[in-house]
Amino acid sequence: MPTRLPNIILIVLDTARAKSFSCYGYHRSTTLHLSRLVEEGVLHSVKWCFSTAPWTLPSHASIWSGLYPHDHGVVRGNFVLPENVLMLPELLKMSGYHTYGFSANFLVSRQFGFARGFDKWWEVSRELLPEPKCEVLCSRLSEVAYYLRNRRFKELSHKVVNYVWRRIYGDVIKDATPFTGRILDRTLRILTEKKDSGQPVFVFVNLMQAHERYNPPSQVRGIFSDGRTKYEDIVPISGFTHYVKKPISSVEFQALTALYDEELLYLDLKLNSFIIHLKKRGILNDTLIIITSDHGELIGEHDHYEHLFSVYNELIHVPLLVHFPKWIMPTSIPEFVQLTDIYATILNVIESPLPAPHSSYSFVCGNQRSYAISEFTDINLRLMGCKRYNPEWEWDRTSLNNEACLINRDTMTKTIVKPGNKLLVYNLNEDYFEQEPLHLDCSNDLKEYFRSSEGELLRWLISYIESVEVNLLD
Amino acid sequence: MDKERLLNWTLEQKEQESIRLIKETIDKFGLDKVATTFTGGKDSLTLLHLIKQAYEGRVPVPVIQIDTSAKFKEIYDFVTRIAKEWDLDLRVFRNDEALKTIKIAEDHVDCCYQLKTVPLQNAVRELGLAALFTAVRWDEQEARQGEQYQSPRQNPDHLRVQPILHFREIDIWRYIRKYNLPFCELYRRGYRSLGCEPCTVRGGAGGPERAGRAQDKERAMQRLREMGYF
Repeated sequence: MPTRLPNIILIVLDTARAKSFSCYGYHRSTTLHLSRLVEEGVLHSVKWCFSTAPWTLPSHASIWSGLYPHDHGVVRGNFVLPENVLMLPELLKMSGYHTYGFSANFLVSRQFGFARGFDKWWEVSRELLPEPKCEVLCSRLSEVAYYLRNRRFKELSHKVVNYVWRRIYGDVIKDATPFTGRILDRTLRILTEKKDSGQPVFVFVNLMQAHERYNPPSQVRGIFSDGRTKYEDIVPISGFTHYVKKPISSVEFQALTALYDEELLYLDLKLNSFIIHLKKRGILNDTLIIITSDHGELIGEHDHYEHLFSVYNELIHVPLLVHFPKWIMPTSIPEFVQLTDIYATILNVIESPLPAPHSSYSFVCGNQRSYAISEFTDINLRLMGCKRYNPEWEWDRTSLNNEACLINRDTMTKTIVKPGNKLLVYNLNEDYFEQEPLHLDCSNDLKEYFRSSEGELLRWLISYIESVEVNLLD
Repeated sequence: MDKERLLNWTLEQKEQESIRLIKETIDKFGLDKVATTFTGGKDSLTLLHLIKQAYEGRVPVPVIQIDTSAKFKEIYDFVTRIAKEWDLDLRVFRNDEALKTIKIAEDHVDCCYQLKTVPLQNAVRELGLAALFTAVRWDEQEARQGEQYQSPRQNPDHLRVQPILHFREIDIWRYIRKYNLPFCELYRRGYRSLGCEPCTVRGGAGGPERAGRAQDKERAMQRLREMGYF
């Protein structure tokens, strides 16, 4: 047992893509404060961090378990965390930590096993909701009176059920701002209360600020956008309309990107204030902070919208900002990691005797990974959505399908594997936005690659993607 | 028995108590009347090593391996490796009759009875054992909470001795690290506990919550719909 255990704060900025962070080279000043903290050495930014999947559940399960999706199995209709795997919060609790979890994403929930190992767990519930305002209450009552007067009881009952549902689970999708503030305040309060308890604290935080619908608060609205256009003006029903009814235009995508960027700007302000408070209260020096994301977002790139579509960089290249307490500051930190590596890193930092999975490399012990894998095998969900919005819609298998990718650290070659033995190879050093795939026949590098130790892995990925059945009725 | 106090002992205290129980049992019944079990998992590995510690680096009693024929290849390989490196007197027991007729994992209860319980009973009978060490722990699962260090069993009559009852899961790993013991590589692939291959999955399929799966899935789909995934 180490003599000193740090507090650990793991913050997942749901749907935040590295591409849109100014500290990762974005042209807009979305994360000025975080950039400054990186320059001052308070945070260390890892250049390449890849998520293992382009959506919430498999990606969070990878953070929790240190396993790739094909190993932890939270894919293709199985949404519950595997029971025979020791999850990160469980091992921290076992190691003497007080464990607290706040999730604004109602998929990262008790129902799916994510609360396992937490002393206290809050998900999108009444506890995290803001107090109802008087005018909201009056408006609701007049609505009820209207339905009663007009004897529209069926609609009223639907409204009531919906309202109760929203009151229980909140409408974080519509407006995440109150949840973001409340969760960070509570995290700060817990850390302050436990400061002198002598027992280390682990806090997991999921913030939904950057998740659609992008509804930036007034504090930042209008800084990048025109200040008037709302998300609903462009996407009135659902992102599926882009695929099955009316495609979103490039001008509209620009407006959506501006709103998304303002959400990141707000997150930057809140995280800066959070870190300042930790410093003022004397907590920062004893705390390991990991700020990352579960996946990114496509806002028109490759003609896609939202996530859960592909393994392009917009979806799998996620930010990773780490604050190390001085006494565990590593001499060097790798520039190429995956979200699974958080597991081994934490095991390493707390000197836990438990074994880390082969798919998890600690980024404080100098043992670097040589490749990254990301998998997407849940196209079913998107296809079902498209069919729901337009039963006549025909599935174009070439643009929407399951896929996986393998990224080689040394060459920064990314190979995307699609069904039908289709391979797309990009050199990320020269083509980060994945616009021009390399010509396979001309690529001697790829031939070399297939011969290398990762060639076997690539062949396995090809057969894996081929074996995933797409069943729309599932 | 003050279970909480025992669970909170230091690793060194726990080791000493386990070694004391091991020695006490062997002193009482003699080396030819005692055996231990080894599954290839982390708990029975720890138990074996504690016996080695108690007897100057060797395991002086027979080591029983119950072969269901359905274990992971990695487990068989690991048991073979340890048996060779630690010079174990490994005795493998199998229910060959049942293996001819049974459909493995079809009926979990019957399968476990035929392929685990019956060969273990045969082992106790054939070796004429008075006591058998097993690597059960209190914190393993709810059903094990009431276990005692010594528990008399019938059919055939013998004493089940459980010297590592007070080890928590983390103590097992601390012990393995402390003595730099090798362990089955499946633990590096995320498996937390090991058994027969058809019934040991990282996920919950086949687990006690099985009945609730369909309902879980419905609620899951509702949530995904709420999130706009389909």
